[in-house]
Amino acid sequence: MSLDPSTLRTLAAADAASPPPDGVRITAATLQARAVAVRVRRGLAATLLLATAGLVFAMAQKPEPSAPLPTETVRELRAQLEALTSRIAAMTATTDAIEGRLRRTEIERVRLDAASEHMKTVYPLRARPVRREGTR
Amino acid sequence: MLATFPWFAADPHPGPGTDPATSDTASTPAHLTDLLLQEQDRLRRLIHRLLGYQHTAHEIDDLTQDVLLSAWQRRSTFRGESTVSTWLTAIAIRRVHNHARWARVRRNLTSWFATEEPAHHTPACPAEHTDEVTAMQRALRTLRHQDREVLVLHYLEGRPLAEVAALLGLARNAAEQRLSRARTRLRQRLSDPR
Repeated sequence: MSLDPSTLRTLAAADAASPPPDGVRITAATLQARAVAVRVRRGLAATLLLATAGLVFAMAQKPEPSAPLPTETVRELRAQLEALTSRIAAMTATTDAIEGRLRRTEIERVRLDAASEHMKTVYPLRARPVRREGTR
Repeated sequence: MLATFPWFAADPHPGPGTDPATSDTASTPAHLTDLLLQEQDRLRRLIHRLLGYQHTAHEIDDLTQDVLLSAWQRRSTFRGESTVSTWLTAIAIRRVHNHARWARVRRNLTSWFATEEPAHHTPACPAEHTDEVTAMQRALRTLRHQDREVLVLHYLEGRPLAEVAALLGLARNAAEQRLSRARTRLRQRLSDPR
């Protein structure tokens, strides 16, 4: 069912009552300038897109594993490590021995102090007799 | 004047230019440019109609330039099966369709943040306009783009249904159905202007 004639007339009248607003006359130069602007805009957009993609790609990369050390260096390092371990063991043994001697010395000192106290109580010191002059 | 612009004068991909009406003139780039520029008034009017009579001169200028530039850049694809005018109309329809779609997306996005309804540019209605004309203008403005498109092409541009279908890339039945729905919605808008 088509539009009735009165609606069609109103449609035409509404269209005629709304002419397009006055605009700028387009010339070949206008189109040329617009083409350049479009190219520049596309170039910028492409550059931005590439830069973003590059950044994302760089951020997504895993760090590469470091190269293995040469065998000689590994052997030297292992030998140095073993030497250091044995030196540490020897120093630990020495420290233990010194610590044992100190402990024994302390025990001996305590024992001697106790014996001294005991002797003082058993044999208290007496005052010496006063010599008189001319008594000989 | 066009001869002073070598960018337009030199044509690395000349189109066939077999427009029946202008086959002798459209074969050279300078003449094709002339033909394109001659169509600008008609294109402005078409774009203004397709956009629902509510866009500014700047927006219409922008779209018209886009259409003409797009036509110039795609001149090698012009097969001459239709007139230059029809070819330009098809480009304008696609361009305005894309513009309307993006405008709708932008409007939806901004509506999430805006607290007030965006104000539409409404052309001033002269005092002699009847209520019917004003109601029709309002109805055309508020119609969906697809509906307005088919109404404008068929009733205002006076194109037969087969041509409308071809311009919109539809089968004839689909175009007929779309036109029928558009008429129904226009009548609804006119009877209930809310």
